[in-house]
Amino acid sequence: MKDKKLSPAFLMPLFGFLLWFFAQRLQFFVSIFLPTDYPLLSIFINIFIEESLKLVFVLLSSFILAKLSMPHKTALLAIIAACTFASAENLGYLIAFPDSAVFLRLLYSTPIHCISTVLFVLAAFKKPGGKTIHKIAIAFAIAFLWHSLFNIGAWYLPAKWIVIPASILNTLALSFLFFLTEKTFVSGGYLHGRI
Amino acid sequence: MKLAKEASFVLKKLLIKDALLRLWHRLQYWLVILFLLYSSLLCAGFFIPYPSMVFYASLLVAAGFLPAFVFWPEKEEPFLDLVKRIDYKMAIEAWLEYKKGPLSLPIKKQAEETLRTKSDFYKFKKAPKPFITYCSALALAIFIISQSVSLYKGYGYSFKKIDIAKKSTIIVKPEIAQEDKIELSHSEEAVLNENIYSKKQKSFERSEAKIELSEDFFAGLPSEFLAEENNGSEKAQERSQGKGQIDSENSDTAKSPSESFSQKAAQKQAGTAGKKGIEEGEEAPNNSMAESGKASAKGSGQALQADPIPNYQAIFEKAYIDKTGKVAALAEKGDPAFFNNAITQYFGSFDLNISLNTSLEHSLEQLKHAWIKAMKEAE
Repeated sequence: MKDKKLSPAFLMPLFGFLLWFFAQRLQFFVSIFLPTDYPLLSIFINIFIEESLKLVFVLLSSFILAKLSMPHKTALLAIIAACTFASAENLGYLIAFPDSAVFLRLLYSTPIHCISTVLFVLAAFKKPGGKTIHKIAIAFAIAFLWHSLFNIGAWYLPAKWIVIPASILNTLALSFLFFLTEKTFVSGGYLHGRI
Repeated sequence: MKLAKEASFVLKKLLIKDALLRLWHRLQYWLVILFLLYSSLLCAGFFIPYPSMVFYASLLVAAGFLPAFVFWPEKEEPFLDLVKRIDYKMAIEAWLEYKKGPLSLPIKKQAEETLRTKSDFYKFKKAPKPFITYCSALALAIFIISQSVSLYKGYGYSFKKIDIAKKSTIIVKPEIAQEDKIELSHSEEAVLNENIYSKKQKSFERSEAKIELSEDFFAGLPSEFLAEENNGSEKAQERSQGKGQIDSENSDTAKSPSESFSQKAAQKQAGTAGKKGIEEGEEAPNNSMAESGKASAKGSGQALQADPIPNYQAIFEKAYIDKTGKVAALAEKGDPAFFNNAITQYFGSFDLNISLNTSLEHSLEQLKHAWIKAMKEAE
């Protein structure tokens, strides 16, 4: 019976697209009330909106999956939604500026959304005796700062300057998160504190 | 019940190896799916005229899903699978299950012993999964088919989407062109000749534009160059006269900018006169080409004939000497690689422009030809 359940993976692209759509609408709505003289303020608010929506989505999906008696690692499927979110953003840029330079976003923009989502999933994982709320707050702060760092870098520097350091930083962060997820969801339950 | 340091290190190493192997398998999935999508889109492009945006957007989305493959959660328990693979005697499993008790020490010793042996002999090589094998084969087959179709249709090797509609207006089969040529009447021939003349005239105008470009290129030289130019003009003139290979114009190379500008103006006038001459039926294009220095001249006196292949080295030397007055500088350097590199850089953009215009003119010419024929038939 368990195998016949619909995998949440199939729903994630739809959720990712909806997230992107809501983020766009919300950013547009908020921008009406923002002063035009402070572009940095608008950048920070946009980042806050995007990261908040992703965090809410990850927390909700973790909660629903727990109710469905699915292991917490299933929440990692939220990364499909993050990839869809990033792809929708990239497609928007490709349509607006049909240039091969848009492909560079795969190196510095797409990983940002994935990094924050994996961070949120790891933070939402309840360990016995752990303080989940603190972890979530720290994860949100890291994700917000990471996203801000790249967006401000892209604002001030030309794309060709930012792509190489950004892709190196993103690769390092993704590698670190990969081993962290391995430690948490693969061997963590068996070897916790024993090696 | 912690393991000994050595055994603990071995277990960590095994875990990292296993994680990297699974990561490699996921990357394989991503690469294979991306390659399959790319080949399919490429192949479909030869049969279905879909927009190029679809091709690039699909690849952008597919490539963007790499992190999803990397972090995809495993259905099974990879750690237990690893333990089962390396631990036939279930020593490690026993150690994992046995938390505390009187048998802790012997169970731990046995697990450590198992891990020590595995550090030397265990290998992680695995045969690729059938999905990856079949998908790779399919993607490769589609890619080969698409390249074959591309070659058959005359596009050469294609690694990005081909715009079929655009290409079909340019390709004209040679036999059709030959037939059209045979059926030409005198009036049509006159029109064609006019067409050829206009093509030559365009070529001449382009050569003028090149000279202007070269003037602009050297116009931004530092003031020290210009000072040297003024001082060493006499020396340069002597050297250029002694060189012999450069045509008569090159002897005037070391003139001041204003002089060279006036000379250019005179050249333009000569070109205009040449054009008028053409209208009167003279063989002006060749002369004007020789005058403009675009084609090198062979022989001497009245036997001067324009070389159909332009001597790039001579043209470059002329432009270089014209502005710097350093006629001996290049020769003294004695570095042909430096000189060749300079020539390549100087003519690079011109080559691109010429090839683009040629293909366009050819298609337009064919179109004009077809139009004249149709009008003739209508009459």
